[in-house]
Amino acid sequence: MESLTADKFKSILDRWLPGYLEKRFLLAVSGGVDSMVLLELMRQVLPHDRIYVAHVNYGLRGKDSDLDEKLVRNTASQHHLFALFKKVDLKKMAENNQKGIQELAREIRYQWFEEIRQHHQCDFIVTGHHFQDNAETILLNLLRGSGLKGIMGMQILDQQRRLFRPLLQVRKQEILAFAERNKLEWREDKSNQENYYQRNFLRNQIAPLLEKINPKWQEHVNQTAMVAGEYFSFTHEVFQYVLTDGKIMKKDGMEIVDKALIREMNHPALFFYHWLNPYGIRWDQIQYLLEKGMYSTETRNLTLNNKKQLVIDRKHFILTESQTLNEKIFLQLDIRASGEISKPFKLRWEIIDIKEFDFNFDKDPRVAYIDYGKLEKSILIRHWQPGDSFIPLGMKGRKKLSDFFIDQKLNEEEKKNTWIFLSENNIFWVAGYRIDQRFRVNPLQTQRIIKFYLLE
Amino acid sequence: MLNLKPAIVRLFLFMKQIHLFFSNTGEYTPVIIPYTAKNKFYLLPELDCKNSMPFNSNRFLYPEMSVLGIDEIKRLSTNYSVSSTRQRILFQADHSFEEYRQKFDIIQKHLQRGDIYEVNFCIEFYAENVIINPYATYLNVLERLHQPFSAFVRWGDWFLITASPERFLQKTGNKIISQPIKGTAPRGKNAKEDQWLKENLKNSVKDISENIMIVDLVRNDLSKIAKRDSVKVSGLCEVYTFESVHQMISTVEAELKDDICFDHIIEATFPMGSMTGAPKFSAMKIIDNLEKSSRGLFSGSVGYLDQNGNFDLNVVIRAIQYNAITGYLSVWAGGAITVHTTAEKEWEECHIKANSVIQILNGIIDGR
Repeated sequence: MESLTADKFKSILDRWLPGYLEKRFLLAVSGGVDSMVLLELMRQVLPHDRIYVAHVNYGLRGKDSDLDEKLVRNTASQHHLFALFKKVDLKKMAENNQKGIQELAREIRYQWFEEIRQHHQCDFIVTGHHFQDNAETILLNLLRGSGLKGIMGMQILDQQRRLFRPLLQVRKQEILAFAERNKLEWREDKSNQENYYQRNFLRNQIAPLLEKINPKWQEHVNQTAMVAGEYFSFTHEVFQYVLTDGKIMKKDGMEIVDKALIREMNHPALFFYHWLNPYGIRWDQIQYLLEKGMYSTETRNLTLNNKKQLVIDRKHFILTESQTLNEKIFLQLDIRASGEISKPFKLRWEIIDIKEFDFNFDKDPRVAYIDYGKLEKSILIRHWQPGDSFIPLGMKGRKKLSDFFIDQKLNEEEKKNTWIFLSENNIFWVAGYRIDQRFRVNPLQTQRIIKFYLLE
Repeated sequence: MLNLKPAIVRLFLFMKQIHLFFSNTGEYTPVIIPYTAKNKFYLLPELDCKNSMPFNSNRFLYPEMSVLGIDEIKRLSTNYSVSSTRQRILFQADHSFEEYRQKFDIIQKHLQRGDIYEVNFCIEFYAENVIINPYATYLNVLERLHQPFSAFVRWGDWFLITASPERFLQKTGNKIISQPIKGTAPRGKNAKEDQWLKENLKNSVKDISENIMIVDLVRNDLSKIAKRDSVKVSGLCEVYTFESVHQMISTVEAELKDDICFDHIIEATFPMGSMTGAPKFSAMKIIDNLEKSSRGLFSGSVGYLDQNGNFDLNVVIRAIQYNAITGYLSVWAGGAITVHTTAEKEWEECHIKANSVIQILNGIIDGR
């Protein structure tokens, strides 16, 4: 077995990232042997200021979780690496969430890594995934029903997600041997030994059985992945060529495909897959497009990630940027009389005379009661902009909206999607969260109340 | 090498959003107090980074009293991605002289109206797209300026290097001392000239009056936390001689009341009078209105706190603030403005003070 050394690691870096000495890396370090080996190797080949360490403490294993964090802290400290830590109460978050606990953890982790990667202008997020991890991932993807891309498994270098996994072709045994040779300290994740999670079940129960069928199954799965990867990039290339063949019309940053053209295709699913794969389309969505989208007569909307959406009208599929649409929306609303709108979101408002009002305030944050007399007759609705501030109900001083959002624990997406109501440039309602102190209903002064409901 | 435990960060707000970061574990705990009169950090990036713990104490502070030792810094200097460069750095002042004079005149009006007696108005000298090795720069600063309160701070991509000659506060047991500096004279070329410059400083009416104003302010600050009648001025306007300058230093001592903790002391005394003016809060308001950007850690404080609650804190002056990602390099300097001075003299003093640091960076100020 080839052994893992700093020199071998250097050659991996050289092969995948020539000029790596000029780059900055954000290391995802859990405290397990893989990531501790990764940290040690990176430290040996790079200047200390090029390495940023990030660790998430989910608090799932109580004291053990804290000991993991402590180990990462001490190791980073010892080598003068700049380290960032995040504590999350995962159990609590999972309670209010549909997603599985592992998926949620991954989501939180990568979102935070990406945030600090951008903040500190790191080039890549580096993880300690290795050969065995990849084989397991591929099997799991297969069981989940994935396309060619799932069979490809993880990539060493994922430019799109700015991910780098330099140990992906390295065997677990080499990693362990390196750790022992260098007398590294690491923490065994106790939950790995339980069969609580899918992956662990596969690793602990199924892998030994697979070993009986074929002791080299890991190599073979990785090999298949490689073959799949070759085919994938080949079809992608071919497809690029086919695509340029007049099927996709580009106009004002939109990509438009005529439904008639799709009907003529032999492999429409593949067409959708390659066209929309960069925006994260899933096979079940493609199925939906083929079965429902193709024949729908009313306008439908499919949200993809990467800020794109697919609009389906009677004759076309239209790929547009959903985000820029949102950001540019400035809504002027005439509130001289009660009314409602349904686009871009559902809102109803009522004007109530104070004499008819029972002072039974609805506690729902999606409902706001505002002093009608203090508002202009035409109000502005838009999304958050840097520099926005208001006086939250119950407070004396101004607060920056960005700080308010942090207090409310909103993520970037929620922040962007929150609607802000303004009258004469003053924010009077952060929809769904808080009204402004100055615009509150004052029983002694207010004559008419306007009540806004946010529907949905 | 002392082994520092991970820092716990507390955000401490009072008056004009002065942020105090400190940790409370370990044998020696580094303390960093930025001066942020403008309600925002401009060099320290958003420190909270959501729920992360931004400070990792070992990398937090390398004061000359050596939390890490000079060898460690030398090692880190060679392990840094930039080897020391000899590039000439061009600094710009954030005010033109005309702008400076206008603001000086506004300050004079405040002085004549009696809003303040004295204000420390500072300007920023900055350079952009600079690549330096901050560790090497720090070693250079130590060697060339040799100041007792030098300190080095790193937070991620951001560095502070200060060659501070000034102590802000020192607490030993229940005794607390403050040593404000006001009044500086250069060293002479020969012994005779040197003696003459020293005598001159000793008798300078302007420097003595500035110094006494600050001493009064410090006495006032300390009296809030001191036992009755314990505030004493043990040295008034004494001239000390350093490697590159003579300085007029006073020493104010006090005995602390019982049950006074670090928070109380900082709340009563920070920011230090020598960097703001007298009366302190009127002076801060004027600073807030007139200075162009936020001082960041300049005129803040760096120091350490031990397990028994004793501490030693400096005044961050002669300081370099550096953002390694954007390449923004900043040196602040200022002087105490009273009725006895002119815009030309103060403008010149800012340049002399800034230059003492800028020349170490092999820099020059544009237009000089």
